[in-house]
Parts: sequence; structure tokens; C-alpha cells
Amino acid sequence: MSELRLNDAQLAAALADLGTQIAWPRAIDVRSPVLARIEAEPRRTSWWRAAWSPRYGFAPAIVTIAIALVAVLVFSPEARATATDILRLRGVEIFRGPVPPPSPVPSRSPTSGGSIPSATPSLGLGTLVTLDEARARAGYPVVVPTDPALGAPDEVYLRAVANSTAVSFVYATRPAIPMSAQAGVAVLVTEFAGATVDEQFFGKVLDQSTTLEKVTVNGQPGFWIQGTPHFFFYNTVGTIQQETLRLAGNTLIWTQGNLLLRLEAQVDRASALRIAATFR
Amino acid sequence: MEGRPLEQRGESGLVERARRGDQDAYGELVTRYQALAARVAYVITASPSDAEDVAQDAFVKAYYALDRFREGAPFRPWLLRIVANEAKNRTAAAGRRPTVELSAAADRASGETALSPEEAAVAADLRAGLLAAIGRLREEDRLVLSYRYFLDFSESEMADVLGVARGTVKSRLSRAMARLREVYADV
Repeated sequence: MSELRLNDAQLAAALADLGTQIAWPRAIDVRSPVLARIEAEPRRTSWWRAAWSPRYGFAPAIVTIAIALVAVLVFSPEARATATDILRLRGVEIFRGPVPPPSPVPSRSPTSGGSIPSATPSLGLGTLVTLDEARARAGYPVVVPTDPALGAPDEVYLRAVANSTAVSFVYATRPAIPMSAQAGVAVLVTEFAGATVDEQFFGKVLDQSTTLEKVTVNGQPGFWIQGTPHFFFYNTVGTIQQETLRLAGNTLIWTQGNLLLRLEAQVDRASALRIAATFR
Repeated sequence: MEGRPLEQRGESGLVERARRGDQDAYGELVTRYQALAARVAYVITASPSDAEDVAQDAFVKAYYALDRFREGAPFRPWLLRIVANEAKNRTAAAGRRPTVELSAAADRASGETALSPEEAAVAADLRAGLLAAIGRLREEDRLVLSYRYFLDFSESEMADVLGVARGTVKSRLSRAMARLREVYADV
């Protein structure tokens, strides 16, 4: 249609004209809902501010958080620059920061040099068990993804965490799911009881390389985290535990009943949500 | 400050009060910026209802992020960056290619009192063609054009909202114009 050639100035003028004809949305008034939402959950000040603020004082929880953070800084000095904020959910705290170098993998004997060893011992997932043992010892009804793309887990681990037992499923390789360079596995699922993701989302300004998005899985709240690695801190009733995002990949974290579930895999959001919907 | 928009006067005081937990002060900031926030969200999502939801969510997120707001920095670009991120996340989730709507007056070309009916028809065609072409651009190109020509942002505001260096804005804009011209020729 456009034998009509526009020079730069004409094109700019045409675009500016177009801008005057946009059907903008009607005037909105979000003041009341915004204030209602922030009223419902007063803002938490960053721990370093809070620790010095006379309004908050040295509340024990803050001290605990500070100690946990200091521990991270000791292990990962580069975290100092970027662990600048806390995303607080009830039961889950996510500190943004670079992942520390992977735990050193024990050197292998030259004779086994060609084989691909299981990377999972270095992931610190706990004791290798069977699925039946995990079900018997977890202390809660263990749920497993039934997505045919995953099939049965290759390895199941059991590990004590504060007030609960974490069960992890390792899927070493799966077609169409890239293997994590850091962890050497394709998919890692972790679940435990007693922690929940709060409905109220404490917002986070996303940096350019990481997005965090509120999602719904089977009608319950969750978060989709995509991009660069982060630290995870689980707070089950007052005890803070550091967890590193082992696959340094995308993560879906959600609740199902009394369980907190986490899926780490280099898949897109839609695939993660699809897998999450199949946990039974 | 000289030449500063009216909405920015007294702003640092409001921001500081909001940062200390004064919700009335924050409410005032919401009132000042909600229309602009909705427009930014609209050029990204192209959905009026999404734009309102995005604006609301972005204001809530910004409130909880005030701790990290650098004291004395301008609030507007900081807020709009949050709005843009929120809108982009939502658009990515919806998986569609958003194109803003033109007002009914633009379709009818009736507002062109200075133009003959023929000229007005040409103008309406041009708008429709350009809009269709913009709709086919990549998000990066579409947004830089929308910020510049639909929202009338300065280069420095565009840099803030896009999260790029000011020097990058010029080259992005001219690249987007070149792509628009190519696509428009094919429409």
C-alpha cells in the first residue's frame, strides 16, 4: 500500500500524529486499592536499615536474618555487592545474590575419567533412598510429578531440615531439558512441609537479568523466577536455612496443601507450570 | 528546579515521608503518577484492564522497594521502570503481540478539520498502516517508538525506562525507525 515514501522528518511527524490518536485507557484511580494493600502488609525495612532503626530495633528475627546473611557474605564475598535486598514471603525468603562457586567435586580416579559420574552427591541433598522409603520417612504425604516427560525420578534423597524433612527428586537427563552446567542434572524437585508462600507478595524490583513473577499452581500461589542465580532461605518457624539454587536456572516455587515445592530446571515458565500441575 | 514538571515539585519530601512509612504521602505519589503509569503499561500490554492492574501492582511493589530508592533521585523514572517491568512480565505471560488501539475519531478521520475529506482519508490510512507496522515490530523497537512518540518521553526518560545508557537510546530509536520503514513498506 505504501508507495508513499516518508523521509525521517515525515515519519517522525506521522508517528507523533499517531500518538495523538491513541485510545488511552480511561482515567484510573488505584490509590485506594494500593493503600489498602500496603496497609494490609506494612513495609519491612531492609535488615541493615532495620537493625539501626529505633522503630524496629534489634528484633531477634532480624538478628537471625543478619547472621544468615553474614554467613553468605563470608562464603561469597561477591555477594556483598549485589545481595541488596530481601524478598520476604511468609516462610520463604529470597535473597538476591550471585551463586557461590559450586562445591568442589571430589577428583575422580584416572580410570573412571571417561564415565559421567553422578553429580548429585555434591548437591548436598541428603541420603539416597527409594521413593517408598521417602514416603515412609518424610512424615507427610509425598507428592511426585506425573508428567510423562519426566517419568520416574532417577534418584530420591531425604534430608532433615528445620521442623521437616526435605525430599528431593533428581532427574539426571531428560529429552528437551538442557542439563544444568552447574549441577549436572536436568531437573531437581524439592519438597517439604510446614512452610508456605504467603498470599501477600512483597514486591521486588527486578534487575534486568532476573524476573520474578507471581503465578498460580492448582489454585495456590507460587512464584516463577527466571534468570540469574539467587540464594534461597527457608524460614520454617523461626529457623533460617540457606539453600542455594543449585541448578542456577529457572525456578518455580509453590505450595500444595501444607507442602512447599520447588522445581529447578532450564525450562520455560509454561513447561514448569505444566509439570507442576501434575504433582500427585 | 527550573523547568521541572509541576508533578515533581515537592516530590522528594513525599518520597522521603513514604519511605518512612507515611502512607498518605505515598497515596499522593500514586495520585500524581497513576495516569502516566497506566499509559506506560498500556503501550506495553495494549490492554486497558491489564494496564490498570499493572499500575496497581507496580505501585504496591514500588512501595515495598522504597528502601532501595536512592535518596534525592527522581521518583518518576524509577517508578516507570517498575511499571515497565511489571507490564512486560504480564505481556510475556500472555504470549501475544500487543498493539494499542486508535481512538474512534482517528478511524473516521473526522477530527481533521483543516484537511479535505481526501486528505483526511490519506491521513487515516497512514495511521492505520503505521500502527499495523508497529504491531509487527519486535518489542524492543515497538517500545522505543511508543515511548518517544506516543508518550513523548525525552531521551533521558527513555533511557531510564528502557534501562539503557542515554547514548544507546539514539541508536535504538534510529534502528527502530529504520525497521518500521521496512515493515511499513510491506504492509
